[in-house]
Amino acid sequence: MTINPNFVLRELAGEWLLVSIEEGEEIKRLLYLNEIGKDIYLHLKDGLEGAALLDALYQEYDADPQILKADVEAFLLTLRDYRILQD
Amino acid sequence: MTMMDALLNRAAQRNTPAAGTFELTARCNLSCRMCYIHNLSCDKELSKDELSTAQWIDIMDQIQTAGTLPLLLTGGEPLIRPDFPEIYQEAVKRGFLLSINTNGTLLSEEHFKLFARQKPLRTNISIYGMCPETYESLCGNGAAFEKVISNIRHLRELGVTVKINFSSTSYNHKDIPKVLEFAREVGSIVHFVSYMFPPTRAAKPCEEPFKRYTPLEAAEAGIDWIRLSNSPEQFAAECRKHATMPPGRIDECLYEGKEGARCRAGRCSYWITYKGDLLPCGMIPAIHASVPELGFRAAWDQVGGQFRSISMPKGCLSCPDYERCEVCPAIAWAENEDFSQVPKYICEKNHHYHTRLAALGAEGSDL
Repeated sequence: MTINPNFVLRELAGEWLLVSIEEGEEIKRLLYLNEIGKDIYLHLKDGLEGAALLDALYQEYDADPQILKADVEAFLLTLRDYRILQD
Repeated sequence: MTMMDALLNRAAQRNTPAAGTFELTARCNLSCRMCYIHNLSCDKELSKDELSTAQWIDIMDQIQTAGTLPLLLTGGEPLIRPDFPEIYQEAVKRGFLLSINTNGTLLSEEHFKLFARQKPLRTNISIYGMCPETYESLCGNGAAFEKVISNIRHLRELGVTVKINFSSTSYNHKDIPKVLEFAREVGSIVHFVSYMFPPTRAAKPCEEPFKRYTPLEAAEAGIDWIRLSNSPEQFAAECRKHATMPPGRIDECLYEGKEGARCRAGRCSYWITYKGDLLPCGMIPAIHASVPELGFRAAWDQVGGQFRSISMPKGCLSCPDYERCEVCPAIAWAENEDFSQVPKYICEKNHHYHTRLAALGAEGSDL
């Protein structure tokens, strides 16, 4: 999995956003992230994926492992839909 | 309210510098009589004082760290700068949400290609009239008219969002119907103003002094605009609203302070001049700090702190029409060079505006 380099992570008044800087877009895409979404994104940028990604998140968040795994998978799907994550 | 508005309001409560304006130059290729900053493109003294490309890019890095996201590039006429494309692309790379103010006359093939590749959120283009004669009498350049119209059409063909800014004066008010027709043709909204700031920042005001509207004329121009830009039914409804409803805020400012400015200036928004001075608002040169000397963060803290300590004039705060008046510290300063004095011009304008609309609403079916 690779992160699309045409997105920039920005922060505005405590909210995190991914701003698209892709050429030729009709409309600039913005994706708002919550705190865990931002952390997942940064881990992905650092090259973590699969079990290593989940381990890192277990360390940071006190969450049920099954629920965390399901949430992470749903989030990765969203990132793929936005073409932020590419296989 | 959009998500962005909500976040900017939150930033205003935290005094985070979230929304910036870069005034890349004070020079312009037009010579509009009513311009608050009226400075000619050939003015070599002014161009010497302009920040370099590298300085603007360095400031971009500082404001990115400080939390700015929407960024407006303006002037004078920003496209006069040959490095505009470079500044624009550096801002895009950093993820700023960009808007541009321009008179639309200097758009070149390079600019069109740039905006086609990386669309600004919005291009705000000032239209000064709808014929060469109006452009000649108001801006000193009749040939500019056809260029502006053609360039707006081209931008729209490329899918770039355009907002038309129209400043009503006695020279161009007659052109409003054609402005509206053109806006409908190209699918643009129009932002109308009839209040002209005195030329507080012009190094050399226009040689022939500009005679702005009287307060009553400015009010009538505003009412004319509502009548012409709406259907008869919508205009009637607007008048009835003024006749029957209690006063409420009727402007774009969303942040409610206590006795200070009601807008985001100095709370989350700021303006950096062509020389690098940070102002709370482009119309308030009296409060400033140098970004090249102090760094952005220190300049923001200084200017924001000073501006947030200013109260609106006591006469305004106690006025029963205050809630629906457009008065702000910038207007108080521009009219009186004194934040504490009531700007009478705006008083008269707004009083006439609301009274007249209410009277029309009370007349009812005669509208």
